[in-house]
Amino acid sequence: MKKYKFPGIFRKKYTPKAFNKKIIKRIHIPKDREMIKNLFKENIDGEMEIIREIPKDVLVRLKPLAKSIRKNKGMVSRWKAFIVLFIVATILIFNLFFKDKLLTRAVETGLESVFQAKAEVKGLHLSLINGNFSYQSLSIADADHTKRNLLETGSSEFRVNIAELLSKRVRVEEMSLTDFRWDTPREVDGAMEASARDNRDGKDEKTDLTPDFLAVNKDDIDLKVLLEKQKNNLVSLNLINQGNEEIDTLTAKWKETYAEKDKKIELLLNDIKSLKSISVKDTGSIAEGQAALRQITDLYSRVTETKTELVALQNDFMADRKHLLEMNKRLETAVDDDVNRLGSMINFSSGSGRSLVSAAAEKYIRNRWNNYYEYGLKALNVYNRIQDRKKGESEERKGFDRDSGRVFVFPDQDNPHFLIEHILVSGGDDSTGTLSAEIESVSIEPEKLSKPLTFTADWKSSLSGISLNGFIDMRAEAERQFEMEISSPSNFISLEEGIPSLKIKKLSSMTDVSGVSVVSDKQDGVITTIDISMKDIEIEQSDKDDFVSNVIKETLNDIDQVDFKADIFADKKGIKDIKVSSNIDNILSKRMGEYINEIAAAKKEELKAELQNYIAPSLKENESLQSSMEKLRIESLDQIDSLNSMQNTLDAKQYEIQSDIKSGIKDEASKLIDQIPKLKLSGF
Amino acid sequence: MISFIAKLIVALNSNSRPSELASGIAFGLLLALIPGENLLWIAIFVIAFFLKHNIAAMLLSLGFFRLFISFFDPFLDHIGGFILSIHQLYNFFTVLNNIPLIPYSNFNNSIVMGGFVLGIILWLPVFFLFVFVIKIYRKKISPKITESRFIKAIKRIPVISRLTSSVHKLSVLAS
Repeated sequence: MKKYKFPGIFRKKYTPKAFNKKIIKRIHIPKDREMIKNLFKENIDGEMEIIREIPKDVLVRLKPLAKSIRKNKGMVSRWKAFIVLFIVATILIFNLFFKDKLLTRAVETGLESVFQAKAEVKGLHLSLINGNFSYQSLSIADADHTKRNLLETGSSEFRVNIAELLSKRVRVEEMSLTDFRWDTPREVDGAMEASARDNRDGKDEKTDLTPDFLAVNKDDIDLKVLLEKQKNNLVSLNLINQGNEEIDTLTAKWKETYAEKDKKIELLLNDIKSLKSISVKDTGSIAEGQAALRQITDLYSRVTETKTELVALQNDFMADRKHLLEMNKRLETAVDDDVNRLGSMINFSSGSGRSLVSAAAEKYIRNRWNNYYEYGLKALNVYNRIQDRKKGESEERKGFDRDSGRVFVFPDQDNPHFLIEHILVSGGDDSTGTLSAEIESVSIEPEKLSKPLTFTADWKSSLSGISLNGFIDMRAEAERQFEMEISSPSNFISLEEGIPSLKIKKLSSMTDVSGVSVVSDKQDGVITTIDISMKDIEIEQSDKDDFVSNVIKETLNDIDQVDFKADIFADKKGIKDIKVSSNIDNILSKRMGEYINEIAAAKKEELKAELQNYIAPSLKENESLQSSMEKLRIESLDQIDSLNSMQNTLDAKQYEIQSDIKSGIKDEASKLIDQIPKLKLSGF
Repeated sequence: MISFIAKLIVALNSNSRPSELASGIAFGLLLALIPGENLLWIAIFVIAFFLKHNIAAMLLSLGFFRLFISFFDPFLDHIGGFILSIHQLYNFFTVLNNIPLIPYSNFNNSIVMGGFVLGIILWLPVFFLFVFVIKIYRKKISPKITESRFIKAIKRIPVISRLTSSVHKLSVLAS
């Protein structure tokens, strides 16, 4: 039989103290502890030694027990260190092979959710040790125009301060964006999934009823469209409709009332007819005659009563009719008022005040500035979306997991938690113009900075250029929050599309632009004052016989330079107000006044005719209702007439019966006299 | 989850130190009390990982306590807020706030601080409580369970017998 080999720790001999410490104390199952205690005996040297005769079932249990005793030693597991090493190695491998790819996807997803359009990043690289983040190219599609890019950059690099990052502060020392472009065409459509995007189909389109000021040509104004759009605001039409409704109601009311009276008169007529057939003469009965007289008196009082009622009703009817007639009178003035109001809406520019050139300049500036504001508002939308996402995340966390708790602020190095020290942007080329911009000190905690955010930007092309420089100071003690100087000297401006309404085919000039933008006193927007000076203006007319373009050309030939001054007020929603004045306003407006007044007068006449046509169907209905009211009036008069004739009939009948009674009494009396014997008195 | 429970049962019935199981449970409670997503939680988890204790017990107790811990957030906020506003500790916290990486621990959050302090305070009582419970279990309850006729009857059910044999194999492997 093979000799059983005890596990190492059980082969050793231990002093009683060591046996207790190294073996017994490391056995935590009482049954096993007792078993081992029984297996070890003290030898002659006073040491604990395992006995040799051990039952087979006990021998089997010794090996796992020895293993667990060895395991129950120390506080730290060495094998776990290997796991950590494995994790570290995995991270390093990830860092080498997958980090940039995963980060690229994460950046693209993040940008797409913020901009709601496709974003592509190429050649991204992150080095945490050097604090460096770079990419070869970045393009973000425009959510509103998915075939175009909102912005696009070439090779760009961000240098992050690692020491600050370890203190939970983001400090980008330098951010350089090269080949920066915006509004560039895209090869692939940049739309996101339909569900993720805003529903733009329902987006309201701006409806500007005021026609283009420059469209003074009367054929350009569609009066029918204007009347249809202003239908609800037309006082005359509303008055007609209101009148028609009232006439309708009153006609129904009075028809019913007069029908009732008709029935009553009918009954009276029947009674009178039956009364007419009574003849006291034929019957010769005084008693019957007296009964007929009582009947007449009774009928007479009923006729009088009905007549009184009818007269009172007719007074009410006439009051209603008067009210309707007054409405008709008001209608005449309402039509004139409507013509005047609609006239002011289409702005004929009576030729006395407003200037064509200033208005054209205002329109041009508004278009140009609105483009800039569109970009500004897009940036604001992006900022709001980031804020909403942060808010949503914190709400989600709050709802499904732990409370967010309170954050106690302790002083730190007084550096802002987010700071971009320096942003360098460059882009463009010779054909489109070159751009260079520099922004300093962008932070979410401006109070912690000694200087405000400053910026300079230059755009230059072969024909024009513009320089901007200024600051944004959000610190509490700042005197001014925002200031920007605009300088754009010697620009060649060419309006290739011209001004068709003025029969100007093309306009070009050399222009100097300078200005300054500041925050308004109420801090509710930005006021920009721009001085524009146009020299060497050249005009190409589309119609050389056209009066307007001829006047403009002559005026521009008379003066060397046209100066404009524009005051623009813009708030978060865009441009609120533009006031433009120029030195040729008065000259032009004087020359143009007569012409425009002529157009305005013709247009007003046309508008009046159009409005009358427009309200004609309602007026026709009004007339037919009026005539039915008139019928009712005549009917009521007829009723009174018939009551008068009834009264006359009754009077005649009464007279007749009374006469008959009288003659009947006379006859009776003469008969009685005849029957009395003639008396002869003595002495005669 | 089931494997964690099996490992816990194995650990309870094998010759592992009661302190390993108890410290696993105490660390689970500490990690449950501190909100995640900060460096403090990660640091405690790494320390707990290196220490010799029962990971299954730690993860099970972490999962178990996490189910209810959000109900105690107002209480933790109160404790944390109180500690963070102790005037005498202001300078200490300021120094701490300026040590690199420490701001990532979110120690200045009232719930993180409250959870951390309460977890540390509760660590020893929980540890000793479970050491005591495990010893009692092994000495008094475990032999009775193994010898009870009910358990023996249950063990005869094929599925249970297979489960107990795999637990036994596991315990042999573990020891």
